[in-house]
Amino acid sequence: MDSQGRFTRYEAKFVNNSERFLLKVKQYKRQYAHIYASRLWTMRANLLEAANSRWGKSIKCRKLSELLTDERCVLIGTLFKHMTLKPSILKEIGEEHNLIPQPVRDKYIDETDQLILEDELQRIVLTGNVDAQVEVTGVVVAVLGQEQSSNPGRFNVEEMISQTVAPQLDYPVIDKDKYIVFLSGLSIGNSSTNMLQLQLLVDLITGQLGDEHSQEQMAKVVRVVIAGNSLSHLTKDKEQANRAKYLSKKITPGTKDALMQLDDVLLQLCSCVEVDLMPGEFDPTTFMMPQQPLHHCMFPQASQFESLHCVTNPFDFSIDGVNVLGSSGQPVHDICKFSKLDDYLTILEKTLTVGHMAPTAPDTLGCYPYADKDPMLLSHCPHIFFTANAPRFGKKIYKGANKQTVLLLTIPKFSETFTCAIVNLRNLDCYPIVISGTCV
Amino acid sequence: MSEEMATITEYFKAGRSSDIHIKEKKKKKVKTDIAVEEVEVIDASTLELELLRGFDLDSRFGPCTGISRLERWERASKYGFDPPKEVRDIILLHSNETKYTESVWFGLKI
Repeated sequence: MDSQGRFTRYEAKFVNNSERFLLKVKQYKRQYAHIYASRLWTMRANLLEAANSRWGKSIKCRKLSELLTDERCVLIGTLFKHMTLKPSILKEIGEEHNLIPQPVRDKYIDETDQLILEDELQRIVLTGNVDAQVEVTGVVVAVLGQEQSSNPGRFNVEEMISQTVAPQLDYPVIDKDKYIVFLSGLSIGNSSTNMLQLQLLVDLITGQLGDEHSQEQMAKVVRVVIAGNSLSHLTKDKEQANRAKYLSKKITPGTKDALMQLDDVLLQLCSCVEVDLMPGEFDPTTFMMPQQPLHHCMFPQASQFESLHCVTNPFDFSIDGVNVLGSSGQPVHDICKFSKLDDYLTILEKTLTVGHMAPTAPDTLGCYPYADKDPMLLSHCPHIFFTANAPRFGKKIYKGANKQTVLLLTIPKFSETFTCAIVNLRNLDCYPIVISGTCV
Repeated sequence: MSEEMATITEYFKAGRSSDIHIKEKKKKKVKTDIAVEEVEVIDASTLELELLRGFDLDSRFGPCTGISRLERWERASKYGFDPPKEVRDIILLHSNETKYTESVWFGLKI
């Protein structure tokens, strides 16, 4: 606190590492085989090393085309989960005459789901020590086992492993307590959303709420990350999108008012703290992952401040040397739909250990058809790995084999839980802030 | 007789005498056509295109559709597959012609 009784907000050095998620050239005529090929090629070396250290170098690693019957060997490839209930465009067209639509479900799993391993040219069905219910399509793995002559065409798996987690940079030494606030799922534009809680949170962060002690604490917040779904799903009116333009001339789209409200909120925040705005599933930007930043023209007031940063989803940045990586929740939600895993924190840990942020892209999650790379591969291990729009707040410290320490964080939807997450950069302490409008 | 009599058609094919004459005429025509084809020259561009086609269909370098040949060469080089340098040289020499820059499947509706 200085002589005039004012607190100065701390500053932190920010580096945006999300260059790889920005799309420069948009070419949609390509098929997705290229992404899968890039993914497999990138991960093959690491998986081979992991397989050698786990099972010894004496066991040969074979390509599927060189597979011999009854030979115990290691295969490296991409998993494909064959699911009967998976929504399919072919089924839709095939059933056109009967007009039976495929129902939208919470989970598309079934007991008959089968795992198939694919490498560059061939595929083989996996049996034995594999649980199809906890795996998803798109994960690159190494399997040890053999194709038995008694059961040809199937590979009997003894053990399946994923890559070793990438190395992590050393955690920087930060002398003071500095905080980041993570927020998601504001869902503005929904008439039933109570804006009081959001306003209270904004007042808290800007230092207009609370006594001197809480103001002092809030002055230590160096950044606010709004991780997706700032607009409500109700703003996406699908019926109106399909109507002819001349019929909907007088009707203003739901996003317009919602964006004005969001702009007001951002204006208050940007006037005193750095804000990163990530797009989410219901925000007006590209549908395919990686989602492109929201255009600054949508926020005429807030974009006048340099402290508003419209960023991509997923978002990779480093603050004072601490590497933070995360998404607005679509990858984790997609894995939840296509496996029996329910806990967002478990799924987040799984994406970290398999080395890919969104393994189900491009199979069931929309993804841009890259030709020569897969930007959502985890080439380095972050210090903080988050997913947003989760049903509840969760945190876990993951300890890797090579002394990696990662804070896994699930940020809850603010519109439902009125909770945001605050992380102390000095020691990775993390706790939720719950704004409640009623007396407890 | 104990052994079967061989029929004459085993030695001489059955057919009308007029047909034999027509066949002879056709044979003469075919011979002259072959003579013309043998004179054809295989030039450098055919060889180059063959080499590029071989590069396209080589499964070591991944899928070839929807991507230009140069992009595919760069990608293969990036991942350490050591693609032949002659392919890159040929592509760069003819950078204006889609026959050289794009894969064999370019333009076809797959």
